[in-house]
Amino acid sequence: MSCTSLSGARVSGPVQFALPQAFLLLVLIVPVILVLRRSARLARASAAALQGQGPEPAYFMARMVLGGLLMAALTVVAARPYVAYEKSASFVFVVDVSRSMQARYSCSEPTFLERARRVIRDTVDALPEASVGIFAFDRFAFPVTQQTTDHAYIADVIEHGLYVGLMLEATQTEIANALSVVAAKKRRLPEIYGDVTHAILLSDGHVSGDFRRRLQEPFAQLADAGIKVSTVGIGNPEATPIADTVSGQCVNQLVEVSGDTVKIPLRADILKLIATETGGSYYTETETGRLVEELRAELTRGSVADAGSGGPRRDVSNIFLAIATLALLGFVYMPVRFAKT
Amino acid sequence: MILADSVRIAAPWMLLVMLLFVPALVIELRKPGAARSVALAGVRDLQSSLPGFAARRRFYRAVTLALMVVMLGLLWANPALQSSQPVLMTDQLAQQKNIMLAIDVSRSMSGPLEVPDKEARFAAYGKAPEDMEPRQTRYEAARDTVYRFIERFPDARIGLILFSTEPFLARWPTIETDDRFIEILEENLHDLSQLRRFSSLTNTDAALRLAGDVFAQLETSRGGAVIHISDAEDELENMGLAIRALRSQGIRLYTIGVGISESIVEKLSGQFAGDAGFRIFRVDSDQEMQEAYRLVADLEESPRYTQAEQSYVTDLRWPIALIFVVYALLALWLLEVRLRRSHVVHVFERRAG
Repeated sequence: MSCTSLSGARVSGPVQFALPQAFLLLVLIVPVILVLRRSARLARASAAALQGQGPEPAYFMARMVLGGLLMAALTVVAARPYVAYEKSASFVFVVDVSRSMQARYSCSEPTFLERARRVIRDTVDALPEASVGIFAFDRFAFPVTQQTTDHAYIADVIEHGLYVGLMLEATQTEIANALSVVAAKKRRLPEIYGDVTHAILLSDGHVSGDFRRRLQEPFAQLADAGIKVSTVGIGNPEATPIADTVSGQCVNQLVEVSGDTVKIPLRADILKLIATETGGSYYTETETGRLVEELRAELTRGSVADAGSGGPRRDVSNIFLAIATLALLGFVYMPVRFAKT
Repeated sequence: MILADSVRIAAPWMLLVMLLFVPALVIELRKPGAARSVALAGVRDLQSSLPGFAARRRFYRAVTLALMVVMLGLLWANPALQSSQPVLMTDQLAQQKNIMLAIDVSRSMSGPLEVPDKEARFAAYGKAPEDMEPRQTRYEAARDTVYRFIERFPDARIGLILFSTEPFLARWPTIETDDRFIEILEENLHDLSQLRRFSSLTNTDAALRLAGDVFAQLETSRGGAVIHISDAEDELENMGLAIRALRSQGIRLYTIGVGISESIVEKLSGQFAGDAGFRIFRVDSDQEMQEAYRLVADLEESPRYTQAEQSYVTDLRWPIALIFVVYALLALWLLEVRLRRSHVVHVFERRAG
């Protein structure tokens, strides 16, 4: 049985419990009911002694229900409830860390790479059930994370492990090489990348030379490997300069070569070509929601879940804690409400 | 947020849930006949004959309720216990031993680990490379050593730096090391692999500086170790500075020098003679490499380093919930029976308010 969690992500079944023995505590509901019944009897006796009118039976019944609900909800929290996500797809993000990704108009703006990081972060956060890996590329391309469902780790890598100059040569953007590497890794390491059917390329597309010719071989390799590539264009409509850095600190001075300011255009044409040729889609960096929708659509019909592999878990204690809180609030404030009637 | 060394609160702001119950606690503590109460004929007489008005009783009731509220707040805040040893139902290691592996991938690492003897060299003259008996390269020996380390420390948080002219942070430290970084290390320095194209000269001190930077950024870092495998000696002065920088961060450094000169080993050993956190090994064969690996692994497995750098996280939410369930029964008995306020008096009082 599948159900949908509050975040919209699909989970593989009903709520499960890490400590089901805690349900033995449910027997304590019986003494709670006895206590509340005794409380009701005492209240009626007091009212009778004063020749007054005790509260309505519904009042005592409601308190009994709230008391029982409080006990039951707390017991469920103690049983450590969780839901397991369907893990039905693996994705790799292929992130450009070449020097052009430092482009920005001024030091107060995020660089292209920081904008790419935000896209990855938002996408990964919206897909808690996905297995994710990151490849970084400039002239070379290497996987800089394992395929993982540990999104806290991915967040750490996005924060600390993706930067311009990660590898020796940051001066070239070799998208063709990066795509070849992704296809080759799947071919050579099927036990790790066998489930990867979709790569998300984040780049400004700033490549030089005959890119169409250079991309033909990777396109064939990706097709063989069964990987489509969606691309996310990182950049501005107009060419963007690079704010220079000195000792790692941005200075409000633009990078120049031979007296000319270096400007980085967003080559959406190249990125669209890659997406079209590999069966993926092109997105702007503001279309993360649409990208997530596409990836989520694949999660629901993925093959990994059919293989029975377990995915990440999500703690759902807070749902039952909310019920316990409402029950206690009702229990505590009910006499006040009763007094006003 | 870490409140203390041993207790961590995941969502401290959720303690604000307790504010919802403040009015209830005020009502419990409020003295009958206070400002908003109206003098009601007969009510004062009830104070002596009916439960619910004595100051001590009001206090006990408020405390009983407050304890429930505190437990509820704690459940929302989701506390966790950090301990050096696993406790009952411990979920995970919070803080693992941190190890950075720094592997030299310069061109010279593609050379054989063991230099062939004179006879073998003569026999090799005139033979095509494909006819030669394949020899384990320095890089392959280093890679095998890395695999052994990773397998020996399955609970460790391990990162990987590949370095040549510049260092490359190939893996941010991770506890998921089942694949032994094969995604990267499957490449070798023989063919036209990316690693081969990446490889050039050796810049050891840059690699060690990068390792230090990574440790500095690790949220859970309490020291750790760098295992550095290289076949080249960097400039002695630079290397000394890089080692001192690491040691000042409390990071241990083990250098396994493949075929490095005795003089470098002696000089560095001399410089750091009194420092147990720096060891340098010179290896010329696979056997020596394995011996060095065993020594380093044994040292790192010693309680001295293991206990200080490892801590476990135990989720406290479920034990609190267990206690809360039992306490709730007691609290309801106290509030509704033992310390009860007569409903009649209670209602009179509320109406008066």
